[in-house]
Amino acid sequence: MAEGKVEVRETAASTAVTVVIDGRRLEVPAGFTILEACQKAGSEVPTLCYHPALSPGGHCRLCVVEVADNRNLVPACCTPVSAGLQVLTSSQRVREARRDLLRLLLAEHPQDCLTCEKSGECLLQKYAYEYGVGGEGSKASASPAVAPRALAAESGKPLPSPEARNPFFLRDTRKCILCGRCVKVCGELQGRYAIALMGRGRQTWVGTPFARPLADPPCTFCGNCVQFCPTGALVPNFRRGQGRSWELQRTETVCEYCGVGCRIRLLTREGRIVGAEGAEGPPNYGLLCVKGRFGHGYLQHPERLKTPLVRRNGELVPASWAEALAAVASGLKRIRERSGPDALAGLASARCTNEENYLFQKLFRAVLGTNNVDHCARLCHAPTLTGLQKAFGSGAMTNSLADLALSRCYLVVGSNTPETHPGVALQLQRGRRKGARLLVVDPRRTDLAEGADLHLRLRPGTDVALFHALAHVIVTERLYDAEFIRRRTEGFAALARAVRRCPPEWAETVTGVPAGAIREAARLYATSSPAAILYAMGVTQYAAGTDRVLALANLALLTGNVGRPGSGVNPLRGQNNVQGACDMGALPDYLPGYAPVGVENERRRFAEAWGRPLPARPGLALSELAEAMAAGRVRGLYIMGENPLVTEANLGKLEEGLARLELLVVQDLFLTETARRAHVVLPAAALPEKEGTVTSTERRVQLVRPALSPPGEARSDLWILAQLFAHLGGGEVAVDPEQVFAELAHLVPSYAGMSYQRLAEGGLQWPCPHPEHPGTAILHQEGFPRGRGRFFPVPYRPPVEEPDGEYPFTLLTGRVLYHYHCGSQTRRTQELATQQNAPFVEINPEAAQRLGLQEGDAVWVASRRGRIRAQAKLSQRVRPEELFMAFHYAEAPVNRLTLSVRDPEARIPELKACAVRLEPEVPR
Amino acid sequence: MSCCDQERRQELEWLRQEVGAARGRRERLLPLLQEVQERLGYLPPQAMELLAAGLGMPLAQVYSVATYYRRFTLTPRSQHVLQVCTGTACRLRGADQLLSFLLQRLQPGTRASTSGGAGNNRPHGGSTTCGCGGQPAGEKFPAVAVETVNCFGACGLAPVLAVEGRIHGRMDAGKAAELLEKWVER
Repeated sequence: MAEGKVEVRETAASTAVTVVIDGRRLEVPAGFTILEACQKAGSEVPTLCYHPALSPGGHCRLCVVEVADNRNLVPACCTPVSAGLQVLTSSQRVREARRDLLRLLLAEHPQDCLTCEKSGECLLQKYAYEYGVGGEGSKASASPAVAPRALAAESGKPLPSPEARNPFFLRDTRKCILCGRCVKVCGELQGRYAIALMGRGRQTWVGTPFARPLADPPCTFCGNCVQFCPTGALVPNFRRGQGRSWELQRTETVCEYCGVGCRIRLLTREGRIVGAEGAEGPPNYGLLCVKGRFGHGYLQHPERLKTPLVRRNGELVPASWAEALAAVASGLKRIRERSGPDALAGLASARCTNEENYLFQKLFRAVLGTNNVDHCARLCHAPTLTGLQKAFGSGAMTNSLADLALSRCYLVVGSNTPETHPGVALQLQRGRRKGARLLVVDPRRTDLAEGADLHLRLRPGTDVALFHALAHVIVTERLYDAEFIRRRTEGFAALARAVRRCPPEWAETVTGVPAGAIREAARLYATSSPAAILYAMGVTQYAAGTDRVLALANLALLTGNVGRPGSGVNPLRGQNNVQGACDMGALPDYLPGYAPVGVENERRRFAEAWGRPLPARPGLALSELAEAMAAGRVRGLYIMGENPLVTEANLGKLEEGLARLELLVVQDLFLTETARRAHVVLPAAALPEKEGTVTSTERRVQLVRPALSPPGEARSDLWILAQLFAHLGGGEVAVDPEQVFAELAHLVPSYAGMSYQRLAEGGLQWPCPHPEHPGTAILHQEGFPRGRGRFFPVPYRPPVEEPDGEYPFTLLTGRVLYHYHCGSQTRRTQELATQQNAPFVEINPEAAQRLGLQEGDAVWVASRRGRIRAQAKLSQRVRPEELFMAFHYAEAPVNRLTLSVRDPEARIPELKACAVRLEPEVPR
Repeated sequence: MSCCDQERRQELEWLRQEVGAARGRRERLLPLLQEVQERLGYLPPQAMELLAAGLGMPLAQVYSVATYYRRFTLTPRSQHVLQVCTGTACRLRGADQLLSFLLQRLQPGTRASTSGGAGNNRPHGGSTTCGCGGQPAGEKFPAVAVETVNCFGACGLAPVLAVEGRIHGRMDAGKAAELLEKWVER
């Protein structure tokens, strides 16, 4: 049982009181409960319903203690201490009372510990053992299928168990002791309220309203209820029969999915993955989402690549590592000799470790001699990098996930947070429980928008107009922080002049958001202090992405919401190590630590360290490769762990380019859509199979530890890169992540104070410039890296492709909770593949009716660049003139439709929106 | 839209207005549930959904409250209700005999039950519903329902029988039979 301390007590009591626990005198803060005092005194008190992360309820009464001058026994978990309190935690009377309670619980509890999944972890079992209760016969063993509690008195029918119908976990009502932990996790922490305690007295059960299926609709299958359940009442489906607590190995590492960087314990037995638990500490405090908890089955999928593959006579055939590496090395050398180093390009990976990304860019720059290195950050947060670099001097999340819970107001822009960053949504939930206001800017009515105080439902791509109108209200109503502006910013006068021309009434005509709502939002954001801005792809994935980021940063600078807890401009990074891959210089214009390749001194510093001259001209961005390949300027492409044939914009163009390559090398877990076209495929290890570090969205560098060995001949990317260094004459590289980290920490100032030894004690947030530095939770507290924060009066530019008569809909793209990017992992995980596993297009019912479409109808979605087939899904989440599709599905890749028009600075394509039309499959 | 939905829509028009006036005020949940129970004789799912959306609370919590109180029933209840008190005082003075007499007279084949109204507090659904989550279509409801309650607070009159809400004290089988006859005549 993981007992994660989720919430740090924020109301630090000013006064202390003296209490006596089991004869021991000690001082505790006045706000403590008796239980907390007992824990401090080192007296163990048994608890079942209590959990430090949840509000105390005092349901189970097992924590009763004897308090002097008190006739009754007192539940310790929910009774506050008072001065001079004298407590006995295990007197005869207390132990007898607890024994009685356990007897009563066990009378209704099937005593099948021999076959129970939770055996060894079950708290009821633990206390029964400790108090010597049990074996007195249980009424509950009579009928194995039906709980006596669940028997309706007259009919003899069991109460329906909704969980029996979900693929993730199973609820056995017989083993439920009605402690209510699952109910509280679901409501208090997760904010879903999918379940509650129903009925009363002996006929109480945990259930859904009307015994509806869990997913209908509030449950998101995060499974945190399963982890918090003290008995065997809730168990993960896939863990059943796989081993009991003491047979499992637990490896603490970082979840391999999104950029939140949740700490996770992987459970393995004899080299097989069995399950996962949330680990304690920041950023997730023991909680996980559905992917983190149930999304690891892909590791054992039969399609995992187990040997290198080399193309012979047009077919990919198994080969030895020696053959494959020789083929890669000779191919790269040949192209470099014939066409020059810039005819080569490499795509690093936001799913690989810092060490691997560092070595990858070093290989391309120092050994092969080109700056043509990039990775998928180009497709997500490149504008954040360029925008926040210009405004603040550093392109990363300014604040920490934990301090978001201190905000009084959230301005969430273009982020479907609960689905794409569930760990961040938990922080929003914490803040909202304390009364924080929520403003959501999104064309779609997502669940987050649905529950917001204000949903500013703008027309896609009109963000800058909206942000300027918000600034207009803040400026004209003098809601800005004049002192902050004077002391820490520049360019205010120019911004004020520019936004005066952008009143809410003008913005209403552009964005469709009522002027009144814009005013209200501006006032809320400006007057609730601290206020935090959170944003994601809805801001950045446009050809004017950088402008949007700058216009957002203006708002934070105007209101002084930078450099304080609970404030900031917080880009939510998409992938597990996308922040790290950028930090490591897997970018065409930056060396590690954002040292510009064009700056002579910086280049010299790296050239000296690496002992090789370095190219000075910035390289090609991922988004520019398709054209360069089609034009024959790039002839060899090396891809480490990316699948651009699903994720890059305008796939038709990319396919054309790939077809012209002399050499395509793909290093991946599976034979992905891109790998199928490769000349050489190298089998790589997945994150849970290797060691290294990753950097999360809140700049937290954390250690990754191997829980498993890679299958067959698959090897870590680090090992593969080390071999290539040797084959390409780059010298010897030790296959030791710790050594590589020491090298990079020496070169990247913000990592300089970090070492594996320090990271083993917990993650560190950069900048961490020296070994004594504690890391930086909040950026820009004293000053900005560029000196002063700068306002940018950017112009408003309409979206590139607006709907017209021929293509009347705007297609919005995004993700769903259960799948991840190209789907190569989640769609190969049994449990996740049961959810939304087919391509769909969200259509407003009104538009559907106009076109004669019904739920589930097959329909073609066509843009000027291609067409794909999906199932119609009628939903009020989109407006009649808009559609939404997720990009996970290779069989209907949305990026066949999207535009490759790019942001001039950040070089990100306009992935988020394009004009499309619907073509019913069969004309009616 | 199913058969029951349209009917309910009309039935619940007044509730829609009440909820509109009480928007976001969770403390109005119990009074409004009581009113629904009184007007319709039970709490249809549509009413609970309306309340959850309007008062801004999770449906699971509304359902939790609805299943907690014995005064609420989730399936349509007979309009004519006899309530036998099974509190301690009434029990000691023969409530059990009174209950089995009434059950035998009015609902032959039913065994004595102490679950009363709470027996109806089980989830909707089952095999014979019309698919709208309402009452089972084929099932026939008895003209008169016999229920038990925990205590009316009229222990001095034990054992107590309530006929459509009116309390009759110091009951026994003979008196109850008399009462029933008069009642049926009316």
